[in-house]
Amino acid sequence: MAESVTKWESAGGNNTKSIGGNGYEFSYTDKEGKVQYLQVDYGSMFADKEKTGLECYLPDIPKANDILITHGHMDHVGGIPHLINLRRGKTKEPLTLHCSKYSEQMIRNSLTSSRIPAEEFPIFHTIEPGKEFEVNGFKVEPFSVSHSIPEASGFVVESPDGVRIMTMGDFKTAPVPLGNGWDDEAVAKIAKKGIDFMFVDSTSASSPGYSKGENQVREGLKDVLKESEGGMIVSAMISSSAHRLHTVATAVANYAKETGTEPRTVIIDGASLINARRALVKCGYNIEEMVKEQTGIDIKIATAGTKTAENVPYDQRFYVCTGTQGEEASFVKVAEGRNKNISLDVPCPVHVYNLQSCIPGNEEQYKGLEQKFKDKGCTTYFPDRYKPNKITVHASGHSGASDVAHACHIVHENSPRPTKVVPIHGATEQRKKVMEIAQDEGMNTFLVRNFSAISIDSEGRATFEKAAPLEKWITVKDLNNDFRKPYYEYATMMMDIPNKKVIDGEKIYYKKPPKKQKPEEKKINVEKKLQQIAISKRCR
Amino acid sequence: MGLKWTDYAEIAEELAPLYPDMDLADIDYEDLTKKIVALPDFEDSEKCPDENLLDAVYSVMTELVYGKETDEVSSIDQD
Repeated sequence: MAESVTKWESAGGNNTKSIGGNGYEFSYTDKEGKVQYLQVDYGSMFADKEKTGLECYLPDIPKANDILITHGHMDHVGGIPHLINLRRGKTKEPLTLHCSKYSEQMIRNSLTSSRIPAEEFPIFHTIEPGKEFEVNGFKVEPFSVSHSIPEASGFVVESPDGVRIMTMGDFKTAPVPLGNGWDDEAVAKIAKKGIDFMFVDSTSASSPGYSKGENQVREGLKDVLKESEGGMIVSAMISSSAHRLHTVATAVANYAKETGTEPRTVIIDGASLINARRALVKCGYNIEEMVKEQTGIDIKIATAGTKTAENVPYDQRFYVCTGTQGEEASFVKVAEGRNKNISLDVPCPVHVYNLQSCIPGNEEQYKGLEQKFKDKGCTTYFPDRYKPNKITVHASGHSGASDVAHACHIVHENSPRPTKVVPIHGATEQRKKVMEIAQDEGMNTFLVRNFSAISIDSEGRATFEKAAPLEKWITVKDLNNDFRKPYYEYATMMMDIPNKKVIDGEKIYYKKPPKKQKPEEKKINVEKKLQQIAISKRCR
Repeated sequence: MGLKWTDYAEIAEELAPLYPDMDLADIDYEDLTKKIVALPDFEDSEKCPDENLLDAVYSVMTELVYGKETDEVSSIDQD
């Protein structure tokens, strides 16, 4: 009889350079050799469609039927609609997602966007911080963390052997305005039960200090409002990072209160932001009511293109658009005069603010976007990612060096077992930075490459499996190239990391969803069939 | 066979051109249900069995009216 083994495997996310495609697999093999699986996240990775023709890359198909979702950003959940396509007809087991309500809404939007049949939607199990549940023999305890998106979670997963692994998800420690955020006491409480391994977000670990909070952005936005007096404001944010919408609304209310002026109307534009706003309301976050309660000021959030928005005087408008990085979305359409809801040709000055700094690697497009606004005569303010900014209009959702040290310190101080730190979700340099920080806290650390694994026996002894030289990914292509009727093609792709080569793999055949026929198509089909019957009768 | 509640995308495609001024950020299930049931192709019960199906209709309508955006996965770490 073999030994039982608890295993953690990186299926994506620990990429050499790019960030995304997050997926981690837990498994437990009992003494009889029976294996149980549990996945954490199934995200997509940016594929640069213009260059590759691909929608995105995905980690390999998870073996688990249950996925713990840390939060609703696409690099953590963007693979779910494709997973449903790839599983169709291959398993009768339902797919269950264990996630917060807001993450559920984000996933549902993504499923409808990919036109997944309603009958095939997964089962959603709503998680609550501190409320333990069991799945496939694993005990799971979620805890809330702060991130740019509401209701982000970390998990402690305990195997039947009692091995306890903490996976933080994307996190920072600053308070967040919507839902629960990082809670020192809750993390300490969970750590007291013992943590063997701690997987830590590395994305911004190279940034010194703590990651900023939305309260600092709120203060920065006061300056924005002051500098834009008498003009129209056009701004952009990442739609799913919905704390920022609350921050904008609160800043508008506070500024009106302090100056004794009428509050501007916040006007949202862009499909994903409008969908996010409905998701917020569904989850109980009515921003207007919250702001009224907090500030005593009535503010209005209107939707671009509606009569309510059109009736607002230009110098009272605070537009919030989608598309901070210059991708095809509301913001760039405004800059290029293609947005039917927002025109820059107005009888007052226009002030343009990007409420998001440049994502590394996107510098050219980001600057190009700002220039387009400048060319139209707008005053612009696009924050610099690397230098100190005059006005704080953006706060990252990822932990800075001090956040990482803070989290490590709490776990190290409270866990009765020695905790080993494994950095994840970041390029190699950032992961090495997390190791340095954890070592300074007196903790052991391990650098784990993509597609490598850690096996822990029932005595708690860990062994490391080296990653295979080739990384297996799935490519996603929309053959129709039409969002109304996507027709996805999937194929395997091997990345030879040491030799920097990409080897195309094989097409993955999958069962297409049943086609819904329109009544007139059905009628035509029936007529065709009758004709065929008539022809075959004549032939006989 | 006509449209069922589960045909959220087809329902949204029929509704979007009929109601171009609808505030899609505003959740009004009663109003949306009335509009769906009034569609000539609709052949299902008058009450929607699952609120999530109505949300799905809203979601697709929003994309059709405001245009689908490049997936935000391009914002790499969703900073």
